[in-house]
Amino acid sequence: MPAALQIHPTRRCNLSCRHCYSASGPGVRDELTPGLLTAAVAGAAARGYTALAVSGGEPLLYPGLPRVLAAARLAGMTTSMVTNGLLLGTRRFRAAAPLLDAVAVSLDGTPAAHDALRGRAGAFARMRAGLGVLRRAGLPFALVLTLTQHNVDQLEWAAAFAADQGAGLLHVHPLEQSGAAAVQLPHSTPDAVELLVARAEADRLRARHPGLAIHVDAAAPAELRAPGALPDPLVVETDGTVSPVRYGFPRRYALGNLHDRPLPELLDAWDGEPLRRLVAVLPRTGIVNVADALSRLAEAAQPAASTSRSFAANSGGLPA
Amino acid sequence: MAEARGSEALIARLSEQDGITAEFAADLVAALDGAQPLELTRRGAGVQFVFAGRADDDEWSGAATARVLGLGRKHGVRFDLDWFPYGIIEPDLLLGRIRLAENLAGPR
Repeated sequence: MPAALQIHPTRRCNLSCRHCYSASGPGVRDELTPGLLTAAVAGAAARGYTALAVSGGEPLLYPGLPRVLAAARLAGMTTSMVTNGLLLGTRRFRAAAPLLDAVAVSLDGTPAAHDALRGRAGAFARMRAGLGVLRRAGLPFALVLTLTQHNVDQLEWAAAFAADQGAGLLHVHPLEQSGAAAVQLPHSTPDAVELLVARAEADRLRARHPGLAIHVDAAAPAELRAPGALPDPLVVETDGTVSPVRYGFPRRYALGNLHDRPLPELLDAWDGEPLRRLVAVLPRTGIVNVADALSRLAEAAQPAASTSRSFAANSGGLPA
Repeated sequence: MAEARGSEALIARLSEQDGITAEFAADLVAALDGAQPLELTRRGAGVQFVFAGRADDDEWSGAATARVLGLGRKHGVRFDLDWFPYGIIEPDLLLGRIRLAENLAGPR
């Protein structure tokens, strides 16, 4: 697996989705400068990161997108972005397309479910039109479905839609209880049963759509990997915070901020041991969304000085 | 009212697609109290019901087996029940599989 640098250059978005983990929207203007990001991209590539994934906010609303993608290409990285798909017919996308290796487009279920979560009638129709643009451009694309407690029964529909549209991958990502979702969709994060059923459904649907890869972000204990020497993914948030695991991961585990120090210095100073301790105390039964489980553990953990004692008390002792 | 689990809607739909009565499906789930239904679908002319149960609890799996066999008597059908490990679930879960063979009268 390539080590991935995930950047969120802007929280500006043309939608205000009910499940947005970063609470992005039309009224949000936070963004990082292209200069800061191109330096971070070059620094990450020099340390072995081989894939750049741009998210947001809506990346196509970030004026510096082509410049950042070009820097990644120059550094030898593959490039991708996650988009809501509404702006794929615009000049902004035509400028970015030659610099992209793949595109991931958000899909939230059937047209009615999609429009409801996106908060805009017609969002599904515009997204589907955008998929036609990707096909004509010959760009490989994935559809990213947010799994909730209530929609695993829509995977069958989503897989058929993805196969029909020519997607290479249906990526099923569990809802995260952060950002807008924490307020607007409480109690909707899929529990272990829904994650398990999603994995079983994915097995069934792979057999039905042999040309479509289906990946569910839910791991069995045997699939857990201890964090390596460098965080993977490495996440650059819109305020400059550099985090492991995912956007919004508890700040105590952050590497620091790009506004304070360049990325290579943050990587040099990173101590991965606290994160390794978290992974070590993940539940060893059932299926988990690893990023979500780690976030909850990190939020529950005591401040760094008493971390070990806290884990020992809660888990019956830390692994050696 | 709380929104339904997606898995419940999925099981209901698969049951309906495969001509399995809701009563039989509900009885199966009840008989396997503590298990998680994953799939109820036609396999050739037969029917297959797959569920996850607790591999570390022989008492539970034995009792569940007895209940399922009793269910067969109630509905006037015979079927095979076997347990098998499944790659994604470990170490304390396994899958059960109930197969209604094609030469047996299934619930219709």
